[in-house]
Amino acid sequence: MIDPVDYRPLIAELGLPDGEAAHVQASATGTWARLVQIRQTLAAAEIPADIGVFAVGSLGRFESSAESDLDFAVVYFGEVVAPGEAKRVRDELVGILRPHGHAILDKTFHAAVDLGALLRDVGGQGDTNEHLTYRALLLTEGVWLANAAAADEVMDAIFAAYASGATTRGRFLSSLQNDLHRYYRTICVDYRFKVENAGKHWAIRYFKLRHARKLWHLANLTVFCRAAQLADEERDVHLAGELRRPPLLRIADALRALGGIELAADLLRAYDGYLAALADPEVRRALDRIDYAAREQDPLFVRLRGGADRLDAAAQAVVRHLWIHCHEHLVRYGLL
Amino acid sequence: MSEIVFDLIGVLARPSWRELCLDPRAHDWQALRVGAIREDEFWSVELAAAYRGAIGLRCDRLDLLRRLRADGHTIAVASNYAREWAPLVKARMPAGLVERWVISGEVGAAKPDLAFWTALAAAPGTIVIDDKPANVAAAGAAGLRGVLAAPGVDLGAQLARVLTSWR
Repeated sequence: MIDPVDYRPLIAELGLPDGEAAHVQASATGTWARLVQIRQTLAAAEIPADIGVFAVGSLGRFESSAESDLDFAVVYFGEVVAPGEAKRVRDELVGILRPHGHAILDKTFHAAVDLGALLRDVGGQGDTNEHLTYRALLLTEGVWLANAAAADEVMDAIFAAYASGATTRGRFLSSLQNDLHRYYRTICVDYRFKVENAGKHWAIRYFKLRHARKLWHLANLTVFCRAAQLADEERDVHLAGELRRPPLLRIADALRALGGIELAADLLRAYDGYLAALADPEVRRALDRIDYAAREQDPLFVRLRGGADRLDAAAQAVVRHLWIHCHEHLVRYGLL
Repeated sequence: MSEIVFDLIGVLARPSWRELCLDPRAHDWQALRVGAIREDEFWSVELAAAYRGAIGLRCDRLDLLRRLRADGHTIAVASNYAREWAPLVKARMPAGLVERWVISGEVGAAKPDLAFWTALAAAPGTIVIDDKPANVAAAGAAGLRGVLAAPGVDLGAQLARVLTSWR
């Protein structure tokens, strides 16, 4: 996205009153401001040309709030850049950004990663959860923070890893669709580990799964269904372009082409409530305090679960539309 | 062997100036890109410095230029770009790769307008690579051969196909 993400044309197209998607638009505007601030800050940094610097996560989906961490991904070309040099650059950039108030947690994206490692063993024994995570997130929610030229190269190379598979890519690029499916199921199971084994808070993760993750999955499903109807020579360009757009816009683009744009309205409404909740620090703290066994007595949990149920209903309406208009592709590649 | 014309931002280099601005609409790109205003009328000193720090050339595309040069082709860069930014990118381009530059801010005309293609003065049928479908179409309308370099396109393979079919 070279211009700020703007939901207002879609909101107007759907005839939604301003207030019903205000947080969707506000989070997109706020995210752009934060990206611009980071890009301007890092523009003066000395970074080797073969290192791409990205935001993924809520910033990459253009739905962050002031409460959002910065999921900071540094990817380097290992045949040119030594791991130690990439680590030094990452540490330096983190040192620049943290004083500006960006919370960079040392979890999934705690180290610089070699692009070659992400691509050389897709689907093989050495393909780790971390590699899958990088590929899926960079392709579908990676936005550059520094070295935009190298970041473009990284994203093109990841897409090409699927598209250039002479035997396995599939006419509809199902090799990529399958890997995105795999990532979605991985994060669903990751929730189980983090809560049951690692003792992490459950409620925010539960609502993220039922909103952000589900919408991301629905967006991919919808885009691939739409792409299947295009001419073969148009498909890869369409997919590569659409996968870089925020999930709600991806879904809207596909639905518009499939004659069901009105179905995006309930998605926006339901998602707006979720973004409003997660942007509120009080709500986040309250979610961290909810005891799982007593959740049914907690008004906040019940309210947010109602929103998740509305998102489910809106998502089901979209899938019903795909069932009618893209039946064969949905069943053969999306479900079975 | 023939001349091959490359767009700059989105094909050989990134980022667009837009990606460093809070509100790109607040800046008069239509005027800057044809040299009708100066850069200091376009944006702040801070943004000018940030853009110069952020602009970079794609290493994989430079490799492609080297291969084309080795095959005997000549390379031109034809871009909608501010005249004040051009010296920096020209200086960063490895020596001997690009034969000539046609910069909208220097020639006073921008893609997709016919005046830009007239200023380019390329031979009929010259291959023009651009990331914007409108510019690809305009190149075709001007008697050139437009090739789209969008995400998802293997540009090297695409170009090889076009060159093969052209012979």
